[in-house]
Amino acid sequence: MRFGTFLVRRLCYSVLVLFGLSITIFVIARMLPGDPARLALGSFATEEQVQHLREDMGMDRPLPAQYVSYIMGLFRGDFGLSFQTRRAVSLDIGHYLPATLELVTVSMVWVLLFGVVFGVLAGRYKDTWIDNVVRVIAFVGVAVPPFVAGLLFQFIFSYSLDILPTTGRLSLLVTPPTAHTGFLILDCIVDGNWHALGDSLRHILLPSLAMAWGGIGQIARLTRASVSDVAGRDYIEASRAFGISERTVSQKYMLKPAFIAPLTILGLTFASELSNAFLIETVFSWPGLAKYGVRAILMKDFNAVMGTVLIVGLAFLLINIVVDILAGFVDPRIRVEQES
Amino acid sequence: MTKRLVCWLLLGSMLCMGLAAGAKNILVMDHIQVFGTIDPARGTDYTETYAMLNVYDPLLFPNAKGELQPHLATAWTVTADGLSYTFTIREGVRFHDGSLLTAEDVKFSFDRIMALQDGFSWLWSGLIEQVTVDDTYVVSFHLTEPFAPFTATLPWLFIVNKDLLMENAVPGDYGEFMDYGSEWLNAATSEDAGSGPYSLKSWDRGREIVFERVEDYWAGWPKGDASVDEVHSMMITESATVLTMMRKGELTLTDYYRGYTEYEEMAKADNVVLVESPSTEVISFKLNTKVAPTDDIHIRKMLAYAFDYATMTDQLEPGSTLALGPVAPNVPGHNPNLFQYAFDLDKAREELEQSSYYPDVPTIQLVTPQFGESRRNASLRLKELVETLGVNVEIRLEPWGRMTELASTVESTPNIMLISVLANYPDADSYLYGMYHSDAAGTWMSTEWLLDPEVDRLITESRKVVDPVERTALLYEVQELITGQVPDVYMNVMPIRVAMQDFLKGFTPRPIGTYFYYFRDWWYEN
Repeated sequence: MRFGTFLVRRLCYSVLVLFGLSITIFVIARMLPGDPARLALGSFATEEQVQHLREDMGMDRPLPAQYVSYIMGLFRGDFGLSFQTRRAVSLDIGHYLPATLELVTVSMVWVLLFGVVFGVLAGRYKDTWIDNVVRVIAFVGVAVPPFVAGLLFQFIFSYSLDILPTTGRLSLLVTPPTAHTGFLILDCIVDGNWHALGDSLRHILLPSLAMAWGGIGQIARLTRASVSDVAGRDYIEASRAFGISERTVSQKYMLKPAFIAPLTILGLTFASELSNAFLIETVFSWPGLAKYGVRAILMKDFNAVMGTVLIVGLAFLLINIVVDILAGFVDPRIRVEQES
Repeated sequence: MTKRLVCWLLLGSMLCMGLAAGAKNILVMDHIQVFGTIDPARGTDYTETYAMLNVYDPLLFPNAKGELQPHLATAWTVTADGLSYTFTIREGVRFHDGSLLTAEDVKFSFDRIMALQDGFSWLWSGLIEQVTVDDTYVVSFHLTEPFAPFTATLPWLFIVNKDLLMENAVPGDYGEFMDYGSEWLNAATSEDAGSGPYSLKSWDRGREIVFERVEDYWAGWPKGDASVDEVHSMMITESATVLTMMRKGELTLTDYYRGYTEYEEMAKADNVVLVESPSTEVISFKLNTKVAPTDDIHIRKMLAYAFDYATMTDQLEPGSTLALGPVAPNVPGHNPNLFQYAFDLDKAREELEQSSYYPDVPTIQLVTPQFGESRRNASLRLKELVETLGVNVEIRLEPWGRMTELASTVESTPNIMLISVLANYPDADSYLYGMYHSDAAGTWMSTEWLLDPEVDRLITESRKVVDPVERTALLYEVQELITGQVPDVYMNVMPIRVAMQDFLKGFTPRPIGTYFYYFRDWWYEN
């Protein structure tokens, strides 16, 4: 019950945050230089054409009226029309969002897998060669920007070794699965299209690793610090003294508390991945929402900007709620604080 | 043993022939911006236009010199007063759904684009009184006033399938025409309303768009099975990625927006060739003739003499040629006899000293686009040279959206804006009206604010005169008059550069938009 209250309260705060975000972005988008109708119609459009489009898109109304109309539309799932594509922004988002989410999800899997494993190894074998190797990997991960990593991976694995594809989600001549969800990997599994599944996994490998690069370094360093901190605690010594197996000590008494610190920055890592998604999507020609959003900003496509920012904001808020819930499960003290 | 061997050989060769027969010539190209739409009544961007010109047919088609050839229209006549153009439509042309193309479709296509007020409708805004269907295969355009470049604009009028669009129309703002089938056409990912040599096979927005050859296209396939069967156009913005893919052979043909050094790098691969051809893009420093100090002709002449043209054509944009006036040399109506300024600091100083502002010349504001390293360097070079004469130049980088805003009033337009202008149709009018007529003032193309009644009169007259000889004389005269006032420092004409795999042949430059991306021209050798 108290957990339920906590959840409801967080969701309400999230709605308020999204509301504030919508006002901020609404104002900022309109302050960007350029006339979106003119940009959409091209430089040679007549003033009558531009005015016609402005009226079509509701830009001739006062700003508060435009905002209210936009918010009312949101409740119907209507994000408005894109100036550039003249399609519903919701359609565009529905098309591009799964690609970005899929990329970020796989990337987060690498972050958790490699970051935690490396961190645990380094913390467990502190000051040994294992620790040193992990620390070098972590520093390189943090120091090298994701897009540089992406270009490097392309050069090594796509060009020099020619073992992985350069761009995109699927090879040109591979029949794509039916778009049940837009998540290519899932759709391949649902369809039983194993050839496409293998191809899509090969395609997502490099961009997801490039995106995860920095996060792996961060999580590894934090996990290492947590593990070495927990390893020195009295209760760990006591556990060993009581004859509890090293495996139980490591996995049950060390890993769980050591995981709290990295878990708390997972939300930030997710945000970082989302913000880096544009660069990775550009390098690997990944048809995702981040690239769509940047283009919308450059072309001052108001509705597309609003839609993209709100969706990304919502994703960020939801992830942080999930992280907070997970943190509560891992550390009961946090759960008690949340419930009180 | 011999019999068995012969049988296996026969079987093997049949298998090979079968495979060869089933094998397709697939071309993979890249583009740097999304296809917003391929509706011929809406598209204007470079990606949109090259999709449109392959999926749809226009009435007239430009050749490599920009001369208009019969296409869907087999013949046309113009009345003596220049007010009516009558076109005979080719019989037997079929849309991709198999239905016949008639004059009704031509009228519908025109009425549609004008009603939607989108795409290239600006070309005919206020110009066409009505379009009439005189017979099943005869259509006439009745103009409100003579407009000599009218036929030059027709490569941008693509003919759509009226019956198909109306079948799929939903309630809209256009009375009996509902929404003109726009919603259906904009949402379609594997259907189109065209009759062109390629049809839309699939469209995964943000990833790729695929075009498929129409085997029974009315104009045929001169190269037969060597023609390109499928074209996949993928969005790739990162140049390093394009380079990698070209080297690996994953891309057949690039876009033309990369930097010179990037194309040079691609051409180093054994399998890649670089193709350069003249474009219609003229790059100039546009000078605001109404604000100090560029309102003084001597300051403008000083700038024209102070620019190092050779640096632009030899180092910053190798392969480009010197611009001679506002009209590109490969566009009909270009005056080849115009005075050409050359880099001469002594002459620049002489002009400066004759200026009413000398010796206290106000700082010159120069706005250059954010994107384009060569343009930034050209601006820096001008600044560097002008400052040796004791005149300050302040450079600002602005995004394109901001530049179009600045151009809207005389006061907000800076002294100099570095802008390139391309021909929208193969006629000098495409530059002259948009850049120098007073009606066009306040747009990015017309930041000179010339506002000269005599220039206006000559441009207006050149648009009305139908006789080609008389018209050419007028065009030459107005270009002399304009360039005599030095409203621009005309720098260079950009080349079109594309890199392609060496087995791709037939790339044909045309001086209009993206008509060089006409897939039907291309074929595979070996």
